[in-house]
Amino acid sequence: MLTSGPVIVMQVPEQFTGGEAHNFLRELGPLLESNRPRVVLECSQVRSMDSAGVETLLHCLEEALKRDGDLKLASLSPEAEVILELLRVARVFETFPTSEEAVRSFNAIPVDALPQDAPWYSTAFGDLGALKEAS
Amino acid sequence: MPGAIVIAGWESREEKTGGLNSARCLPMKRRERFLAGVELLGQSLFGRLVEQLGHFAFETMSVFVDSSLTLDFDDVSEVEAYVTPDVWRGSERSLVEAREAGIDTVVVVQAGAYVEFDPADLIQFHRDRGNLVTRARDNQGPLDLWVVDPGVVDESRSLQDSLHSAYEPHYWVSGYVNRMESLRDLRRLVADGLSSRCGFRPRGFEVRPGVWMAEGADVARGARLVAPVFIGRDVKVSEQCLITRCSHVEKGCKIDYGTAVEDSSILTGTYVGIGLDLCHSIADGTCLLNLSREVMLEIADPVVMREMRQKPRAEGNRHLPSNFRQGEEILSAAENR
Repeated sequence: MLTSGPVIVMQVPEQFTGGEAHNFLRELGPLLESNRPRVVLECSQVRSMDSAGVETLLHCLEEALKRDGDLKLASLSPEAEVILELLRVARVFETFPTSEEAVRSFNAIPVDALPQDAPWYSTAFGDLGALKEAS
Repeated sequence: MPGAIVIAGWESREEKTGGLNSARCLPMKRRERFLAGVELLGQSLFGRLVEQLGHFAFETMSVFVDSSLTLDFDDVSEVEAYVTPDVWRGSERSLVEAREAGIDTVVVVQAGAYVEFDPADLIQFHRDRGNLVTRARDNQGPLDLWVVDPGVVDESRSLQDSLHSAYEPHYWVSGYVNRMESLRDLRRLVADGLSSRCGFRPRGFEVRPGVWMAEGADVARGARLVAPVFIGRDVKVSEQCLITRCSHVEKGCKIDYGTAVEDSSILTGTYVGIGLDLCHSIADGTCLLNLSREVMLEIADPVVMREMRQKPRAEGNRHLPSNFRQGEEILSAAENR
């Protein structure tokens, strides 16, 4: 069955380290056990993050992917960006400037983000557009 | 014969309290650790200044270091230096003594900016004009470099006031100047030094064109150094590391397995953990400053970054080398005389 719940948006705490990261995981963990979990983590408040925090993010992403869902990061603070880049995990996450954009991204796949050189895809979308116009 | 006074101290109380570590100073003005005292390419600006002046034939040279500074004293092992809470009062006393000893001209430098100048030319300019005080400047304004007649010391006003109110004509410095007013300036100075754009040269051996290493540096065979770079004294660079694009790793650091350091400064005694990407940054112990994002972070996780050195002179000046003397005692003795 290809059903999924609503997109969950959660605020990552300012100090995303050791104990805080553990509490965060305890809160988010059950939500990740649903079918196709769709999670947006809002990171604008993050001022400090250690390897435990980053491991928590990676663990959550892994859990979401395991259940055919996804986890995206939004509104990354400069501090969070620096830490994720330093620990070489920035590229692992899909990131968005705002939570709204991250939520929208779960509901729609923008055409310009798709590989335009893939003939099966462009044709399919082209036909769909023509059909819509005709109707 | 001329004399020289080198001052290592804060310019004002405001600057002293407003270091890089205080949030209100972001983005990056100066750090609480005195910038001129930070080892760069194997030696601090302060050490280089003392060394440069030492090569010139000064009759006397006095060095005054503010007792609140955390300074690596290895740099100034050749001169008599005084640690004092009031470097300006110490300098005044030194000028009085110079006058009594018949010295007619004294070069006064406050360590801070990196200035390439010819002391002989500066002194000649001062003598030709017959001023009491001649201040050096470049196209950005006055520099903390003066030549004075020891008679400038006046009961009615402080030496600092006399120097800072020096009138024209200023001595124009035509050589390379880096004011070191921010940590971006620090990166620029290192990049210019490594790229031979100025006389700020690495203290070490050029093992390959543009790759400099100091004594005791230990670079694993599988690590890659891409010129221009500097690896300081007793640094350990582990396997699979990459150090590139004007990066420098100062004395006693360790860069652990697989980490890439690009366009970055790793300051003395810093451990950088396994598999990291350090770009456009300055790492100093647990403090990480990212210049492209203008963010300073305190890294509390010792697996990622930590301080390896023992803190030099964190409280007072208990472990001074033999050439250093407590300025206060000496000054009071001089005043009693």
